[in-house]
Formats: sequence, C-alpha cells, structure tokens
Amino acid sequence: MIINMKWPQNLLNDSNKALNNGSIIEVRKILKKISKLSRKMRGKKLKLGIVRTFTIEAQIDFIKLALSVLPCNIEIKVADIDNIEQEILDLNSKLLKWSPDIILILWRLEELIPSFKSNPNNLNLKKYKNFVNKLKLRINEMIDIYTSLTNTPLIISTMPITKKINIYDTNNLISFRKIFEEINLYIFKLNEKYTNISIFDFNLWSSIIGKNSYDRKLDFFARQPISSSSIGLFASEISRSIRPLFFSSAKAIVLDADNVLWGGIVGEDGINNIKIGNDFPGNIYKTIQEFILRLKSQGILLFLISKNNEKDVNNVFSKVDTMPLKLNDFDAIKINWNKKSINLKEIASDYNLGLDSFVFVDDQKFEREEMKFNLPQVYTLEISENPIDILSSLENCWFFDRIKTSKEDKIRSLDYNLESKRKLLKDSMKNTENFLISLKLNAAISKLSKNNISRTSQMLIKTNQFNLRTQRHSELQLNKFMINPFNILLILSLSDKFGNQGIVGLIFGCKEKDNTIFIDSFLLSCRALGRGAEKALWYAFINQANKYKIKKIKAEYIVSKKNSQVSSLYEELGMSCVNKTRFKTVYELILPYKYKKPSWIKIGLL
Amino acid sequence: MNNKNKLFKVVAEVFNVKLNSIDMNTNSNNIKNWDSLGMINLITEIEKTFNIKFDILEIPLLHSIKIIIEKLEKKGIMF
Repeated sequence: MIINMKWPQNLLNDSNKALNNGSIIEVRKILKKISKLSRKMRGKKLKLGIVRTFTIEAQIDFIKLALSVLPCNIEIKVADIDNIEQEILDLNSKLLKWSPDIILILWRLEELIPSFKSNPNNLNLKKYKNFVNKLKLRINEMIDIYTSLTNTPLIISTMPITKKINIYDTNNLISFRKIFEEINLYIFKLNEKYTNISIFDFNLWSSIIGKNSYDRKLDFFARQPISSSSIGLFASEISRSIRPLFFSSAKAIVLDADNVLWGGIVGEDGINNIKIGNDFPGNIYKTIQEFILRLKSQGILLFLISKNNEKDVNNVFSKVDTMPLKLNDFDAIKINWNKKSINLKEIASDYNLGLDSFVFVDDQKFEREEMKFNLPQVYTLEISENPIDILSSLENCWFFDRIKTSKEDKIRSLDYNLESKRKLLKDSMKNTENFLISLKLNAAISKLSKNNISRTSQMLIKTNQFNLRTQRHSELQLNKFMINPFNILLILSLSDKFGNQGIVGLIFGCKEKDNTIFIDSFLLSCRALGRGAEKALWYAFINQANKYKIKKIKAEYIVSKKNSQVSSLYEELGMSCVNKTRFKTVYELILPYKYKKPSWIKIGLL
Repeated sequence: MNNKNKLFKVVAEVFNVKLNSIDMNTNSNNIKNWDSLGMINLITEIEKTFNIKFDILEIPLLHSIKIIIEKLEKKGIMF
C-alpha cells in the first residue's frame, strides 16, 4: 500500500489500475497527467540509474509510474545492456556522470555465465565450482571497487530462476538450483559488509508471482523476460525497495484492542470468550500480535488507545497466557472514553513525534473517520473487520519499511520510555534550569568522521523541527565536506542520568574566503529538545572558530513547514540579523566572541 | 469501434503519432518509433487488445498493418 497523502485518491487509484492492467498506453496517459501536477505535488526529484543484463527499456514507463506515486519526480537512465562494471566502476561512464541518486542492478545468471544456458550437467564438478567461484569473485570485486568510488546507494537484485528444472537436475551433484541458491546467498551477505548496499529480492518476487511473471516468448525474441501482466507488480516492488532510502518511515503505531489484538469485545464477551491463541480464529490475532512485536524490534513505538474499562484490558494482558504482547511492550497506554484523536495528539506531544509519523489501526470505521477528520496527518490504515485483512494490511503497509536499523533506532524505544520519566520529573520542578541540572547532562562533541557518517546523514534526512536550513545532504556530500580541514564539522552525543541517547545533533560550518565561516547545517534530533543542548553545541562551535582565527560567522534560518521553533534561535545565540525575507533570515557574528558556557551541561570537547 | 479502428488506435498510441496518420499502408518504414523496442510494446498491446497470442515465429514478420491484419484474421479476428 502506497503512502501518498498529497495526491487526490482518484489519481492514485488510476495509477494503481494502470500498473495492474499492464498496458503501456494507459501508463503513459497517467504519466502525462502526473507531469502536469504542481512541483509540490510531484515531490522531490530522484534520479534512478539501472544497469541490467536483459531488456527492460520498453517497460521503463511502468517503473517511472510506480516511483512517481511515492510521490517523487523520477528520472530514469538505463545503461547499455550487459555493461555492468563499465557503467558503475568508471566515474566517467555515462551513468555515473549523470550523477544518479541511486543505482539498481538487475541481472540473471543466464547472462552472467552464458555457458549455463546450455545444460550444466555436461560440466564436470571442477569446472562447475570454478564457474561459481569466478562469479562470486566478480561480484565481490565489483562491490568493493564501487563502494570505494562512491556513496551512491546501490540496490542489487538476486537472480531469478527462469529455467525449468527437472528432478534429475535437483538431485544431481551439479545442479542449476544449487548455483542459484549459492549465488543468491552470496548476494544476501553483501549487506553485512557494506553499508550503502541493499537487496532487491528479484528471485522471491518471481517465485511469489509464479509462472505468469515470466514471458518466455519475448525473452527469446527480445531478451525481455518480465511479462506484461506482471511488470506493474515488478515496478511496484522496485518502488517499495527504493522508498525507505529516501522517504521517512513510520515511527509509531497506535493500536485498538478489541477485534484488533484479539477477537471479540472483552467488555461484553468476557475475558474467557475472547479469541487469542493457537486455535482458529485466535491464531490470526496471535499472528497480528507477533507482527506488532516484530515492528517493535525494528524500533517502532507501540501505543494502545482503547475505549474500554481499564481493568478489563489489564485483565486480558495479565490473565490470558496465550498473548504474545505484554502490557509493558507498549510505550504508552490510553484506556478511556475520550476521542481517539485527542489521545493520539497527547501521545504525539509527550513523545515529541510528528503526527505524520503515526500509523493508526482500528477496526471501527467510525474511529478511523474521526481520526481522518481531526488528524488528517496521521496515516489511518484502511482495514475491514476481517482479521486476515488486518494482518495483510499491516504486512503490506510500505510506511513501516526501513532499510537498516541503526544502533540509535534500537535504543530509541528504550529511550522514549526514559523520556516519559524525564517528563514526570519536569512536572514536579518549577525552575527549568534546576531541572536541567538535575538531569546531569553530558554533551560529547566530536568531529564528523567515517564512524558517525551513517547516523549523521540519517539525521540530516529525518530532522524537521530543530533544523535551521533543512539541507538533506547525502553521505557523498558529507565526504566532500571532510576534505577541507578548516571546515568545522561538529557532532553532538548526549547522555544524562537516565541513559545514553547517542548522536543527537550537529553543526557544520564551511570555510569561505576572508576567514569567514558559513553555517551550512545546524540541527538537533527531536529526542534532544528542551535540554539546552544546542547551547553546548554552539559553545563548542564558537570555541573552535575562535581557535581557527575566524573573523566572521555567517548563518541562515530558512523557513520550512516545521521549523518555526528555531526562527529566532540565532538571535538567542548572540548573532545579529542582517537581512530578513519571508523565506529566510540572514545573520552575522563578528569574532572573536565569547559565548557563555551553559552551566547545566558538562561539555566534553573533541 | 470496429477492429480496424481498434488496431489503428493501438498503433497510433504505442508509437505516439496522430490517429489519422495511420492507414492500411502504414509499416515500420514510415513510422519513426516502429523500431525493435517499439515492436515489443506493439505486440504486447495488440495481444492485450484482441485477447490473442501471436505465435513466436509470427513476431518477426509483423512489420506492417497489412501483415498484422492478416495474422489477426487467421486467429479469427474479423476485419
């Protein structure tokens, strides 16, 4: 399910219909409509480069459409057939010169080892092993060189099995099946070693779609293997694989209890009659709960909002022993008779989360409509009352997709719990500074480096609120920043008496001529707000600038939809405004300048 | 719409040309986009529109409206 809340529903429906129908004419008509949308509706620009060993160019408009609906303003370049290394390992190749945002490799074993087109049973074991090892070596070398050349994310497909395999082959020492499995396993393991590699499971896709995914006739005629009836699904699968690299994922799920977590209504049917466990239909609800636990392990926060008597719900969790979910798996619980939108809004503010990072799950149409009406930013999952449908909708929700769970994500859930504890403490204290002192805050300032670049670029992409210029730099750009030793690139890690939050902020100053430094980026993760951590970062920055004998600091606040809370930050930090328009404010500060060290926070410099 | 018009419309839309530029004499030599890639899309769209499948050995012959109609007639599509 696509998460596009910017487009009118009928355009999304038409797009889906055209993709499923497999008609290039219809797809082109929709693309034409999309090209007339406003720039804002079309979304951010994305350049996808495809290297491949088979024909896909006649079907490229399908991929274009599947990505346009994300929404993004997609451009695609398909490299010459079979030229894999030539295109991705040469900075002067047509493809890399075009500077794509992402590259996708689509390949098949048949083309990589042409002799396998004939019968491998004619080979002897030694020759066969030789082929496989050579191919592994080729892939390994390719990725090794690629990752040392560029940080552009690379998606590698597994190899689809398009050959009919007979029983003899399956049981033979030398078999096609074995080669496919061995090479595909090798591909799967690549992302253990490299950070900007992800996998597109072409093989799984073609086995799920089955026989209809493959067009043998057009494969022989034009080397175009993907059938017209399945190309739309293929394109959507590619779109789904690319999405989490460039778009935000859900951070939280809000669940209803009755008829979502278990079958039946506990307040009416009684605790002994609700359906949850190993028997039908309780086994479906059990699987739903297990899926939710999997989301939790991926760093998604769990919230329970139920119109119920608190005691009834608590009883289910404490007395029914066939429930995979436990009460303390939830980060917060609201069991009352208030409007669900009010409860959700409270949670969003308690946890410092944007409403657009929530998924709302409720089997009652009324509740879904209430949420959509009052909080349209929340992604309300469309489901029926049928539990299998609820399960499938959860599994097919693209919004939960994320590529890799970084260490920070894993501690996030733990950390948000700490956030609640901190909040309690704050309520009981009147004086903010006293409160901050009681937290025993510790700010560790370090330089941007290979060790923190992945988390840093993640923050640049995700942070909206405390972000002065909202520059979405890629890792490649960050690497460029690191080349000039006089750039001041500081990273902030924060801990307090409740725990370690890891990297939560950054400030990047770029050296310009006349001993001037320009602040390209300054941001704090929403987990670190309200602690004056920005002052620690600023103190460290000024310190460093004084050290480098910088004469002037230039800075900008660029207005975005979400960053109004920092509109006057630079004034508070001592800078003077030199120009102000509706879209941005420009500041200057003449050095040397002494900025008062914040008293409530211990600062560990570099 | 009769089958002739249906076919003309598919050809025009696949190759992105005006419908009135298509007639019984249209062939791969007088339409710019009717190259090998255009050919793949044309086959797919005709198969979809008329709900038939071309035989693989017929495919390389489909270079003009006349031949396409001839092959479709063989499959019971009336023109």
